[in-house]
Amino acid sequence: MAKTRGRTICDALKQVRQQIADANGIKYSPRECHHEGECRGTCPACEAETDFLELNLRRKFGSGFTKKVAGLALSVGVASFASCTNGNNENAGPVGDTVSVSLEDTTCVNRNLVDSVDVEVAASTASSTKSQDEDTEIIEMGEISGKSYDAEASFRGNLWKYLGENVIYPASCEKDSIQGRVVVKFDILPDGSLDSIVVMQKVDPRLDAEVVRVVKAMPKWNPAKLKGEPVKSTFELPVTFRLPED
Amino acid sequence: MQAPLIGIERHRLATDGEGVTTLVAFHGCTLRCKYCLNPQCLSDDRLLRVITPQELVDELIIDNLYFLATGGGVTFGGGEPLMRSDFIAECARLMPSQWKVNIETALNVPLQNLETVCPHIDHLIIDIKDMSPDIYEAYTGRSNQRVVENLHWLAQNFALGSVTIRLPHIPNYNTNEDIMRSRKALERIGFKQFDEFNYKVREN
Repeated sequence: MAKTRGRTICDALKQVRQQIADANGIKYSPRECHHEGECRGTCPACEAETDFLELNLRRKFGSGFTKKVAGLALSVGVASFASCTNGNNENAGPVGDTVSVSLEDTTCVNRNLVDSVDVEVAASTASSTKSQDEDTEIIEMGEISGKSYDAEASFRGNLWKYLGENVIYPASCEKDSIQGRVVVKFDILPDGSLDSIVVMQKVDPRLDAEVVRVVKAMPKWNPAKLKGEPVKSTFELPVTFRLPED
Repeated sequence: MQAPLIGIERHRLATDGEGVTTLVAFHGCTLRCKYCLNPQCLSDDRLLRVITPQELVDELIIDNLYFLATGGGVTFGGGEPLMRSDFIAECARLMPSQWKVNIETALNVPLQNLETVCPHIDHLIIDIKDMSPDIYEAYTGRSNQRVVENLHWLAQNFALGSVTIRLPHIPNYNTNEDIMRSRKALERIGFKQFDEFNYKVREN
C-alpha cells in the first residue's frame, strides 16, 4: 500500500532528526511507530524527539547550536514550487482543510499521548559538579500515561525542557553511583494546581525527593476537560537518573 | 498589529520553498479567480484566527530545527499575503535570521506593499495568471496593470534569481500559445525562472 502523505512527511522528518543527531554526537534512535490511524506527519511523540534534540544541542553548544545544525539535511529540499493558490503538485493543496494547526496543537504539551518515547537528556544544572561538555549525567524520561478526556491535562510549555532545566542530579548520588528510574504520580486539579504527589517507584530518597521537589515547583497545568468542563485527572511522570558508563 | 489567518500548515516538503517549510495563509485577496484553490480566504466563516507577529513566530519556532537543517523556513501565502506586508516585515524581524522567508503572491497590490517586504524576503513566487490583460481580467475579474508595473519594479530592484514566475495552464482561459507569449514577455523584462503547471479545476 502506498504511503500516505503524512507518513511520508513523518519519515522525512525522522531522517532529518537522525542526521542532526549523528552529526552532533547525540545518541538518538527514533522509536518505532505503532500508530495505526491517520498520520499527520507529526505527533506528540515525534515532537518530543525534536525537543530532546534541541535540548541536547543547546546544552552542548549553547546558543551557537544553530550553526551546528544549519544545512545538515539539505537533501530534503529540492524546490518544485507548485502550491500557491492553484497547483497540480500532490504535495500542495488547499490550506485549512486537513492539516491546519491550531494553537492547541502547537503548545507541544499533550504528553499524555506520548506512550513510546524513550529519550535520553543529558543533564547539566547549576549544581552539577562537572562541566556541561563532559556530559556526566543523564536523565532519561519516558512513558507518560493518561486516561481519556475531551482534552488531556497538559503542562503549560515544554515539559521535557522544564524537567531538563530543573531536575538536578544530587551530587552525593553521583558520587555514590546511584541511578535509576523514579516514577511519581500526581493529581491535576480543575484549577490546574498539582496535588497528591506520590512516589510510585522509588530509587533513593535523594533522587525521589529531587523529582518531588521539581513537581511541587511546577507552574499550574492546563486541567483535563470532560464535556467542556475542567476536571481532576492523574498523571504519571517517570524520570530516570543515569550516569554514563565508564 | 494583527492579521487574520485561514491556516497554518507545517512540514511542507519542498513544496513552496526549499526544505521544510510552514505555510502561513492569510485571509483576504485582491482577486476573484474562477478556480481559486483556497476560497476560504474570501469567506468570513473559515477564518481561523487573528494573530500578532510575535504570536505567530512563537508558534513557528517549534520547527526551528527542521528549518535550520533543511534550509527551509516560512512561506506566506493566502489569499494575497502582500495585503499584509507590514505584518510580514515585522514577522521577519522577529524570526531567527537563518529562516528563509518566501512569499507566494499574485502581485496585484500597491507597489508600496512590495517595497515594504522586499528587504526581508528570500524568495518570491509570483503567479502571474496570464500576461494578456484580457485573459487576466476574464479569469480574475481584475486588471493586471499593477502586476505588470510591479514586475518591472522588481526587475530593477530585486534579485531576479530569487524570483520564480508561475505560468499556469488555466483550463478554458488560456492556451499553450498564450503561455508562451507570457513567458517571452516576462523574459524581455528580465525574469529567468519559470514554473509551468496545470491549474486544478475545483468542483463547486
